[in-house]
Amino acid sequence: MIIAGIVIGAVVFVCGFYIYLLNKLQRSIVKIDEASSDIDVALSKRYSVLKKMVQVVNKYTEHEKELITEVVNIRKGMTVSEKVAAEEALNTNYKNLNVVAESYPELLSNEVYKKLQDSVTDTEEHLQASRRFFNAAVSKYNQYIVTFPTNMVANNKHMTRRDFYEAPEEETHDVDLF
Amino acid sequence: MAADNGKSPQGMLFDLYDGLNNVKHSGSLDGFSNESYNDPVMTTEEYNAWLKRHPEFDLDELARIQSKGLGRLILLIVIWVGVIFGSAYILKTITNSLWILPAILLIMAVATFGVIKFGNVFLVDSGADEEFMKGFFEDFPLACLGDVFSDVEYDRKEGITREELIEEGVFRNFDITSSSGISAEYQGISFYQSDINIVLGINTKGGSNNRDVSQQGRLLFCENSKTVETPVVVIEKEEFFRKSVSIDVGFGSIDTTPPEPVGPDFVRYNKSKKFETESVEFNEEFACFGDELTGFYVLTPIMMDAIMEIKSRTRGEVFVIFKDDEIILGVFDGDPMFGIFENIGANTGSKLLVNAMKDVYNLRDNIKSLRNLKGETK
Repeated sequence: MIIAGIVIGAVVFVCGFYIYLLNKLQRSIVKIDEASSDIDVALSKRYSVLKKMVQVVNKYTEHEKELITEVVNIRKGMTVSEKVAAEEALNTNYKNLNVVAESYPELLSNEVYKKLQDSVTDTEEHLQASRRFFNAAVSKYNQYIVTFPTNMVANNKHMTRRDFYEAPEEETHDVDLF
Repeated sequence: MAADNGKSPQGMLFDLYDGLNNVKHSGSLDGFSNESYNDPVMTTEEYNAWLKRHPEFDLDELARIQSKGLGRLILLIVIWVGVIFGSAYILKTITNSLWILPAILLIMAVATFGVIKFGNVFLVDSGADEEFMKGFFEDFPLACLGDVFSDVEYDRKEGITREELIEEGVFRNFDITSSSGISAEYQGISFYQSDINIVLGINTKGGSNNRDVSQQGRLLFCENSKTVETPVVVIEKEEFFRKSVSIDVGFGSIDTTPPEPVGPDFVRYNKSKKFETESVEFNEEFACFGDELTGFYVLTPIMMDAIMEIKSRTRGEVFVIFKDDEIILGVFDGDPMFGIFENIGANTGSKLLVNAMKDVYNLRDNIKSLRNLKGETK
């Protein structure tokens, strides 16, 4: 009777502990997904602002087709590498826009254009925050994957390491936004 | 230029800082380059330039008045001792010996009270000297602040009010006194700083032993280029997780929790959630509360470095609150702004200027850190 009690107790304990660890892992996956979706939101915002900028620039120049040189594909549920590629494309387009804008002093002094430039800076800040938030979540999850006892549950559920969001090279410096 | 003790101003400056506050004369205002932070020190060039810009403040005259006052104080002490001994002698000769001791004690108590209460009067002469000193109390801090900041408004007696703090959502249910309200601008950044003294009560079980403990510090409200919808609070870990301690109440000890600083109350008040940043070093030192994404938005690596930097040069507790488009920095180190004026008699001539400017530079450095202006010229 006593032995049966001990066995039942141990089984309940092990099951409870397993559920606890599994929940811990699941919570960190949810957090990664949230962070990933935040990146999508930030990229979409950046894309929208750039589109508005293109519209403003078009009023000053006839070289409409030259403005967007990189095809940007922003959609929900992108993989990390797709997000990085989208960010790189957005950056390239922004640079091209600036190159064109520099030839038009009137455009540079346009209030709407200036505000849009501020918005680009703001979206860049949000993107940077989302990226760091994502990487912090991935880092924690990856730690769980390799450390005891969460690694046992992770192996059992075939959970694997997640990729970090590696910022495009030119953006790896800390942007001075003040 | 003549100086007190026959020394040049340069010599006096070096003397002052040899023993004062353990501060070394680095020859530079920027203490960031040093691993262990030294208080920002006014260089000799800056000292001389300041005097040229403000000829209305004659530090030599100040030193002369102070040394005259010191002479008077010494004379007062000599008289005081003489009165006590004289009284003792007279009492001994004319009264019963049983009454000598209590009578001497009474005279000593009255004389001591007199020195403590009215001693300051002897530090400053009446008339012209008093008028001269008044100028230093009222206009000198403003001149020091105006040397670094623009659009300065300074009120020595009035700081932020309790109502304003409650409105800000930083404090609640505390008795607060404040002073040294400074509003000014630094490189286009508007800020407001106030000295603050929070009185918190400790209640023992049953409330038989109640104590008031105060925390003194400064609150800096600085405009932020980023706007947040929900507040983010950064508090020192050791401060937040303080544990119950025993306090000696004279006839035994009681177990109680020390009064909590402002930050944690704010956290509870706003029901904020704890989160960690990606910086292990920062997480070891500070606890962060608020929406995680907003936290990552305001707590950039540069901002985390700035907060660590402010902490490294503070001898007390630090907390930072990001709220709306504002950064609120709380530094609770027990040092009031221009505290040197509370003991003006002991801060002769040049020392007054150098120490007053040290407070101004500290304020400037905090703003520079928070707004990432490090490396820019002042």
